[in-house]
Amino acid sequence: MKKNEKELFLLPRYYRIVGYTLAIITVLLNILSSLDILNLGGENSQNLLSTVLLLAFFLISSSKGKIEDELSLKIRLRAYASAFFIGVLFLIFKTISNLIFDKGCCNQYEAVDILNLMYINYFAQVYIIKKLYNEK
Amino acid sequence: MKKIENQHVFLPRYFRVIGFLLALISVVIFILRASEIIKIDLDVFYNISGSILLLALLLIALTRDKIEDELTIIIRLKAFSVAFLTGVFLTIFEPYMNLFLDGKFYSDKGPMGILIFMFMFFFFVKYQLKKSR
Repeated sequence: MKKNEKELFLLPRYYRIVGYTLAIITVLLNILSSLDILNLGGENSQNLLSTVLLLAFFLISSSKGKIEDELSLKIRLRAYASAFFIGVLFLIFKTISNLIFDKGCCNQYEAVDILNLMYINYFAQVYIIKKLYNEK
Repeated sequence: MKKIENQHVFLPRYFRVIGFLLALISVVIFILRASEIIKIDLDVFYNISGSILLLALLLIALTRDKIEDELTIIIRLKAFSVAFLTGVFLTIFEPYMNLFLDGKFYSDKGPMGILIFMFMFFFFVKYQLKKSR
């Protein structure tokens, strides 16, 4: 395999800070909106917040870590694959359960919600795999 | 460490046939609905055929290849990562494009549409990476 095929395109480390800042702002706005302290308006602003949160997750996950080697690349790739499967399985089971129990009620999730869920899985996977490696 | 590195779960090869059969069933349901031979609610139809197609693609993606070594595993994992990130990229920028073109911030792709797109992209990237190795 060529050298560039062993690598994954990663952003510089400061993008992680940008990502965390965006995530914190989005979560704060969501909390303020749910407590009725802040009125964000209609459905459009909720979609916008979810999309900004997804962008924040993307920046955090795609920026370089302190140490970048073959092992960290493997951990990253495995976590992405696991998150992908979990997202797909979640959607299939959720749809089937909706069809059986809610008698065909449509899916209430947007694509951005499923991708946010997949990213949360990704971060959990990275944490777990890194912990397993450190224990070994 | 070796043990963790080698924990890759792949399905036996006959699951590929099951996957293709499920994909065929999904297409048949689509044709029957489109030609109005079966009359089911559009949401129910979308959910049923979409779930079957997603399951089919998942089975095909998880099935063992003829030759399975460390290189093919890396190719597979990399293809999943690229497909995942492309799906995320599309989901983030599609509403902005709609905002720019239609003046409304919305995405017309549901979760199933985006996951099916990601699977298609996965197969494409996997094929390209295998070809160029």
